[in-house]
Amino acid sequence: MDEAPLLSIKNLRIAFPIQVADGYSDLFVVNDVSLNLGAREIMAVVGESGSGKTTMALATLGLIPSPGCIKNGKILFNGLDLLTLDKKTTRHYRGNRISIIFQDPTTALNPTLTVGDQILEAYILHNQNSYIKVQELVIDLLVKVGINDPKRIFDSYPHQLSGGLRQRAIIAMALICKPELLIADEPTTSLDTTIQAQILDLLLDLQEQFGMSILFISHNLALVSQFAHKVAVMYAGKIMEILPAKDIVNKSVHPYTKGLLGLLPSIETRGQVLPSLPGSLSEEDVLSLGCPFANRCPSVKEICHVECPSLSSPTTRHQFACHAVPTINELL
Amino acid sequence: MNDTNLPIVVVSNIVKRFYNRKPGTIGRNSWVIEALKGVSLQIRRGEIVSVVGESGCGKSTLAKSIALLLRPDTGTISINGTATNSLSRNDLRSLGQKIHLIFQDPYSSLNPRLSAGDIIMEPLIIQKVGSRGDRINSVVHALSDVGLRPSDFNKYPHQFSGGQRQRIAIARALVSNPDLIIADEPLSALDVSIQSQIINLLMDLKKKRNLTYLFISHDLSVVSHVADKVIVMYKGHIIESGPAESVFRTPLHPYTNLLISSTPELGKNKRKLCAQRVVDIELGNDKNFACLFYKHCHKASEICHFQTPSPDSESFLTDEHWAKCHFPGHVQPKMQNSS
Repeated sequence: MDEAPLLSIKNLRIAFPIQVADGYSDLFVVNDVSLNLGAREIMAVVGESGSGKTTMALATLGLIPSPGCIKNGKILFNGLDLLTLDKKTTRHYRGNRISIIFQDPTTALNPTLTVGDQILEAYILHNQNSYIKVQELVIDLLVKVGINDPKRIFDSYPHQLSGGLRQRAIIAMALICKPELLIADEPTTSLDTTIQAQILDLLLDLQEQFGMSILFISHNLALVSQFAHKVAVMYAGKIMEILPAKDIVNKSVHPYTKGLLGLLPSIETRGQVLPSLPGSLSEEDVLSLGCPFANRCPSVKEICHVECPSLSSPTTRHQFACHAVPTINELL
Repeated sequence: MNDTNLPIVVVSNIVKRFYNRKPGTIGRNSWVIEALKGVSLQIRRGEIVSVVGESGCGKSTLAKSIALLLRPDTGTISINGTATNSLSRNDLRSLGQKIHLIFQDPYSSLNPRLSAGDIIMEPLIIQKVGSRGDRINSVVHALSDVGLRPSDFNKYPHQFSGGQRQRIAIARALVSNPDLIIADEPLSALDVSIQSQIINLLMDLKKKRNLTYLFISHDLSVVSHVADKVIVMYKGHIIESGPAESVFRTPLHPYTNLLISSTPELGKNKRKLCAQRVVDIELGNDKNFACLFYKHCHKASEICHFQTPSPDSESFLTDEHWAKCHFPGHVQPKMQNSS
């Protein structure tokens, strides 16, 4: 625990301009986010759509889409601030030491290139090597990601493969340079449950083999509670709670985390009305000066509308941002 | 008015094939995909029947057939006791008005040029129900039923959030008092917190209006919460069918077991728990085996290779709950025991 973290995000704020009555104003999609990810650790970032989890991940790769910009904060990777790097050095890190798996395997691959060439491309960009040697490397890796006949897949075009196979190819592409950090942006959302389970098993196996860290972005709390070491719950650009995944059922304190946990349907809830969080995540929540969750919170207080709670830490392992939760001492 | 025990929909042994031309050829060189290979089921009034299975198993084709949007190649579908095979287009259309659909993606299923009120009113106009005043009344009524305000009548789809849009889609399905609502993955495009709101709404409406749902989903945790009866499909066949409690607590078919064990569950570390999870469910070529699941099944034995399992073997748990498998539930093949 005392080692320096592999990835350390400090007070990151990312803004997109929005039109208001008199000109433009900033909408903070990621607002004062800090988190630490250790080596060989799997951290899950969970949140609804619009909570800023993907934007945060893209910032790590220097890929914030155009009108958005990083207002302040640091992203330290092995102690080096990625935000201060020039374009060329960023490119050296991106895809090489930090890589990403996108959500939708149907759009993440180039339809005009064979799968093998695309994987190879990622390697050649960062390493000088002969085509033949790299080809062997790719085929070895395809076997590692659980593809039975790698030679055929190497020469196939993306449309000839099923969703599960495509996602495996994308995983191979992300891993070809043996990255230290893998960002997985909802890698299984568009897959069937049986395939989802296979892909997750595979990712976890590879994580052990390659010894990398994974930042796993998801909206499925039940899914990540199965394998992540730490879970960060995000809402409207802010981190609400960070805690070890094994504690999430029993020890979570934030009303939002608890709300999310309560509303999952299962065989046990048959015939009951599911508890639900009223309303939905809106732009006003993001713009609000107080706690962004205040409008939907069951245990809201007056202070919540005026002042935003900061992330407090009863222990370094468990942090939360909430006015309504009893004081830290009581919790300990 | 109707007898409660009389099924609304009876599907018996339907087969639906899709033809495709071989790439690069002209004329009859077509290859055939059998999306449904002899499917039978019944939906009774007031029941929530849920069809589960992975993509490509034929669940949406089944839904479209029941909604009378596709004609099956063989087999019959009866709606309220009327067989639909020999009906003319016009008769089909009037029968189909008793069935309504809710689609997966509320962002593409609503016409962006119509206001919410007009979208919901459309079925009434097509069916020529009442005067304009009556229609507006029923639309306002439907809006309040799904938890929207009457003032939302004149708003356009882009002014609503995803959850609210799905509410509009539900209101449109409700407004003409259909006998059956077919919901094709109505929750999968929504966030979890919105999902539970919509589940509660659907269940609440069912109670209030005694609705019948055909609920298609691949999310087993949702299905286990809502369904009365579960139908598991695999490659165009129904492989297991039964009351939800029974199917989820004591699954008979190894495939159902696989589906249940791969569904994420809160706080349970299920990783590597399913020893029978067979590698590459998608890679197999099943054409040569009598049982379609043969290649992926940890129980597969010689008989599965040669004899198609049928539900009239010993694969019944109760009258209602059956599976197409030679070794259902805890029954183990003898071959394996001796070796």
